[in-house]
Amino acid sequence: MAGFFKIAIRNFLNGPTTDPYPFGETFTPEKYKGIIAYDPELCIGCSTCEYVCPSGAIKVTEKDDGTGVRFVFWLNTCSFCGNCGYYCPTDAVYNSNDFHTARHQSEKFIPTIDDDISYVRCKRCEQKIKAPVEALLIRAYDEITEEVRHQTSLCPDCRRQEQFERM
Amino acid sequence: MLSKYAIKSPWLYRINTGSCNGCDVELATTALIPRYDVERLGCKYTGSPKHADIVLVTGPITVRAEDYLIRMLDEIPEPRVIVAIGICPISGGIFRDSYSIRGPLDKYVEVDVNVSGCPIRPQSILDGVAQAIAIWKDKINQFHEA
Amino acid sequence: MITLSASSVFAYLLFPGGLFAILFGLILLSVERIAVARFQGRVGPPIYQNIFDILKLRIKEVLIPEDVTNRFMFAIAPVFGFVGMMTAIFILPVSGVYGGTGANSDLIVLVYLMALPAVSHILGGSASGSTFAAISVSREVILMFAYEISFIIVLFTVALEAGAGEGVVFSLKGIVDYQVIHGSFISNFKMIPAFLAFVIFMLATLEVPPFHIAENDGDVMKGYLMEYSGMPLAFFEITHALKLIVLLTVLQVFFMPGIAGYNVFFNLLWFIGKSAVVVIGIALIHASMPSFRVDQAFKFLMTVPILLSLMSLGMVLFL
Repeated sequence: MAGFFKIAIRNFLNGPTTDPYPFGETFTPEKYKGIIAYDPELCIGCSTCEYVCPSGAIKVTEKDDGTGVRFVFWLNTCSFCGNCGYYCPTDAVYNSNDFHTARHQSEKFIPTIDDDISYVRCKRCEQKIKAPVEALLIRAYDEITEEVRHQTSLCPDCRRQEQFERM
Repeated sequence: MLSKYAIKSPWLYRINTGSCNGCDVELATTALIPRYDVERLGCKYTGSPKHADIVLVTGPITVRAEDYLIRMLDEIPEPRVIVAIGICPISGGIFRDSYSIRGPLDKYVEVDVNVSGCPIRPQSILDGVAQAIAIWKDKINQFHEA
Repeated sequence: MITLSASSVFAYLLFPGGLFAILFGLILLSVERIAVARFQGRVGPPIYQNIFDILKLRIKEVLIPEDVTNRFMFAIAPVFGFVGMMTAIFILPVSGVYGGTGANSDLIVLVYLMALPAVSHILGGSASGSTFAAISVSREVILMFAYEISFIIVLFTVALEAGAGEGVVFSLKGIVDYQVIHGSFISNFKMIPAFLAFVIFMLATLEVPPFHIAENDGDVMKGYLMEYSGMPLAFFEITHALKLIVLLTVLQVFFMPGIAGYNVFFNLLWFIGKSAVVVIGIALIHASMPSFRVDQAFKFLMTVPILLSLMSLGMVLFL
């Protein structure tokens, strides 16, 4: 009991240690797993994040008009496990340290991220392909030459054909 | 006129509908840990549903909790604000396809604020309570006109 | 002899009873909450918090449960304690500010008035038909039985000491006057055990930890207050504030009625200052104590405060 008195009086003398949060700034750790952030520049639309997401918060679907891929993230079922960021080959999806998750009921079914990745055309046959992503090229090749850039701007069929022609 | 003063004293009541206790621990920290002091906003955790103004619901509403939840929500006097805490009452979260889950919460009652997270950060709860207070002010005015 | 005059109506309704006591009591309750928060390292609520709580309860819907056992008693129970406390403040003197009613045996009246808040809790709780309220009422009855004994012994000790060996003074004003002339009882070594017993009685009556067994949040869900909402609940809160003021005034009448001078204003400030210091002391105990079980509390209240007050009584009688 005397110990409790000592702690209480020490707290009283040292003053409150409360975070000024709703009225002021708060501290957020660098590695805090907050709301998912998404970079459409890096995304290759592989759907790995959708496959590994345990709570079904991410949907990657082909757009109706066929001009690209739609990436949708719904905050209200995300459990912030970080699987999507861990398995993403190009680090397009990751946990930001934003923790402002309180939303009004009218915003419940509005997706937090709703972004498109547009297809580009193959240089030879004008077929729609997913655009090559710099981060993936750096991971795949030792050095990125003009040859590599040319190859990646073609669709798989044209690329195979070109390889045969060169042989 | 009274609503200006009344919003300075929202009393909180917690309902656990089969939660894993993660969110309840975070709710306890907002009141008990000196760092996140919910009493600054005038809030106080009450023991009885009849004293509640802002109701914080956690958990995915299991079959066993369903009846108690409905009875409990009946006992909370108007004007009140319902806040869903964590992803379980909002959408079912990772338990969404289970045979024993009767959620989400907005099937039973008109929810006002959703605070998602698994579990939520205490700062987010403070955010949610602040939003709930703003909604509560409108509700008091409506209740008195009616 | 109490006569109905303008000054007594003023004293009952505005100062020091009535409005002043309600506002002062509510502010002291907020001070207690702030002090508890500071002892726990938190910021705590603003100082007007409990007044706003009452204003908030005014706008809430009043729910009456269907299985109320006695509807009339359920509705009227909050009034008992409120009226009792209003009257208690009216008859109590505030040294150097207000003389009280000056009725001859108001000390005896005080014993009965002090029991009224607990009686209103018991009536309201048992009429509400709730299981939690029933448990809480049984605990309240047990505690009340235990703490009233020590209060009565302390009261007789004070009355005997104020009589100075020539009799018993049952007039509150007489007790205050004796102490103003002969020095406060708190500086008298014979009265120190009685003072400690009275502080324990205060903690038990106010239901602060470790004696908050009857209305514990986590245990009996606010107990007898469980079925109340809106204005009746506000009445209970106001009664609690008035009870705090009554206990503080009784403490100051019994043990420290020293005055700061002959200016009424300074005496009032001195009264407020002493009350605030006592409230902060209560908050320190509130912040650092766990809860008793009901049997432990009964055992504690039946031994420690009663022995302390009997010690004082013995010293006053035989020394």
